[in-house]
Amino acid sequence: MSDAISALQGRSTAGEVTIREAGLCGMITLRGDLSNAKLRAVCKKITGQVFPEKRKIALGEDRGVAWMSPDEVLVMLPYAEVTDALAQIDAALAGQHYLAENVSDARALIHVEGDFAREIMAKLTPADLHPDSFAAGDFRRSHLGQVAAAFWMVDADRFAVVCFRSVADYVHDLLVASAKAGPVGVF
Amino acid sequence: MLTLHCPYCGTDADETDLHAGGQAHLKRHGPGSSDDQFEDYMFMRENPKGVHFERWRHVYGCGKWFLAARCTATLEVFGTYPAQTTEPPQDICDKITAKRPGWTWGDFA
Amino acid sequence: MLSNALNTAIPNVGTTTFRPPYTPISMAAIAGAARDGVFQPLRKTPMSDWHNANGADNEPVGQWRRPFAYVRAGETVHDAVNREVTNARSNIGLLDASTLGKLIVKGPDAGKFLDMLYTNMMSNLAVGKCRYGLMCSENGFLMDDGVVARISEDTWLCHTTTGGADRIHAWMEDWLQCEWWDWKVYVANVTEQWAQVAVVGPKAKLLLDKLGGMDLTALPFMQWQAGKIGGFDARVFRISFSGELSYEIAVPAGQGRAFWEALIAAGEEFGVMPYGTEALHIMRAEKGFIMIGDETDGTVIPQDLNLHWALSKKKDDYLGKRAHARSFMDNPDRWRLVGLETLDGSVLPDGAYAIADGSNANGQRNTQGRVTSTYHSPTLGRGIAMGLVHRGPDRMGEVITFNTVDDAKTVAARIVDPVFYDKEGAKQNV
Repeated sequence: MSDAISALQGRSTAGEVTIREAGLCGMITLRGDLSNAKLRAVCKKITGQVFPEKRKIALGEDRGVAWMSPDEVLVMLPYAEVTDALAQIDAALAGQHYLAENVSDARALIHVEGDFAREIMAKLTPADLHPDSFAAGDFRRSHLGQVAAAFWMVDADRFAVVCFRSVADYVHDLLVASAKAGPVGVF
Repeated sequence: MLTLHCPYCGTDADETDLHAGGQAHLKRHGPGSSDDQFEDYMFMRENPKGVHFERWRHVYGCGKWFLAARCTATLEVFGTYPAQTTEPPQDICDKITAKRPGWTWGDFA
Repeated sequence: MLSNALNTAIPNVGTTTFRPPYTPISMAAIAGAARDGVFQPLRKTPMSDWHNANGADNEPVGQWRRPFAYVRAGETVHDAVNREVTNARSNIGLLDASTLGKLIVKGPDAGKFLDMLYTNMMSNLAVGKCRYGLMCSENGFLMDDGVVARISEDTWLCHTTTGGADRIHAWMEDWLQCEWWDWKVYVANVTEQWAQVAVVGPKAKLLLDKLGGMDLTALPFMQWQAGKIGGFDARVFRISFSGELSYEIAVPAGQGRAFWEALIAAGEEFGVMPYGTEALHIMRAEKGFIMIGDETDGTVIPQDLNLHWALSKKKDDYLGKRAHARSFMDNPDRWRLVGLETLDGSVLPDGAYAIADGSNANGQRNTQGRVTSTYHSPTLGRGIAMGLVHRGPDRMGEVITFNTVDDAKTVAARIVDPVFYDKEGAKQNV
């Protein structure tokens, strides 16, 4: 395999809030019956995480499972392990109706880190990001500016954003513009 | 802005997270149907001032299509429900009747 | 105006129905973040930076920016386009085809589902093979086309047009969720997972053999194979939109830039050159291949484009089949696709109308056809065009007259077969 590169190759724009692309991240789109015990078990085996509830993400150090829709989760793991994980899923779900596709290269993962990260995000999405409505463990799909994005909180001052690879530049620049404009003081 | 509750992921979705899909509860007419049936299916649409049933997709969210009952004049939303049905559920119809007695829409009332 | 029409005083006309926003807001509040560099998202392929560093003259294709041509010092854009076409036909051209949509359709009912979406059969496509397919709206009008590959027993990969990726993905989800919700089919849009390169031209195989890793001798036209090309994880589709020997190669997007550069480096001895969308258009027009959005405009049915062969007669139903039975669709009087050759060799104006005798009820000149694609063909050294002409295929050899923006000037063109180059397909069948 040739050395793969991520969309922004780890580009980072520092400021009061830092916008930083996280580099290569393994991602698998898994569609199927989410109540199926074998599906849940193989997700746990790959990520070590308890299967997430609706609109939640179960997150470990470098692995996780995010609830995408009633019949889809996003499995996150180290980039180099994706081929092996797909084989595990295929083995576990053989004979069942499911879909598992490697989407690691189709996406970019961008971190928003700093004091008012929550406001930087809230300015760009219609999602309710009030601390009472959105905290660590929550997962949301919506849009940032004019493109689709999914995001969650790593901790109180850090958001993680997943967007499509082709618009990684746009999302990075949009977050930088939002950060530059400063806090609003709503939350 | 219009806010619709997505019955699949449970999000109160902003209008900008949604994609409008036109009238709900159309019956598909394929090969073998009469010209009139096909015309009804393809082109004839309700255009009410008042109670209306529509298709919406939570396109930036969970990606699921759902159906919404709302008032086109006031933007009041009576309820949303999953798309895998050929008619509005009774509880939605009851809610509409409570607020708009005597309403009719297509074959429904 | 209303007061006049109703013949009543202005105060008696009443007010309009007020709709939100009730309170005026500023334009800046509406624009929000959409200004300057982030006015709108510009989508980039894994190779976009290379293109921009190598003379790309870009054109917008939706939110993508695709190279129209790669212009060298001292060249006009037109010179560059001609050079790229000639080189792809005589040596090798590379096209960044990453923007083309790629949808995975999987499940026990996936074959049945694709048979409903495409006008032709997809359920009986053998694993390892590719087939060109058409999609129509329920109104019967062409909405997308592309090559479908059978990946495994229960999995198909549907290539869509660049603009069709999101649209057809949504179209599939709509039918699966709202009409056939008991069918067991999952769809995933993997468009951006793959960087895709078309390696096109008589020396294409020499280049790929040099990179090594896969025995392409064993890969016939309209088949695909997974493996390694020069150390890259690749899916190789032997399909052609140019009429040349051609391989479309998909590698994971993260390896796309490196793969492109490896092709450029290894191809130097064979005269490899990248080509842009204009060369792509010219080569497909020389072969009479249609382009969604040029030959189609939302009012064109497959029969108008002489694509009857792609309308399955075996299937009881597919989207658009009922509409094709309507009286004005199933009618020989429609405008249909033909090739057009100007008598003086000039390039017909794009969108020009073929004029007919007399005028309509509004006093406008009657028309009998229009130009849908028109180019200077460097291969043939003259203008070539395709167009939709009233009963066109029945009128081969007839000369008709097209208008131009200059009212006084018209252009005469002969109706000919739309395949201008290598009718037998000898070049792609080596």
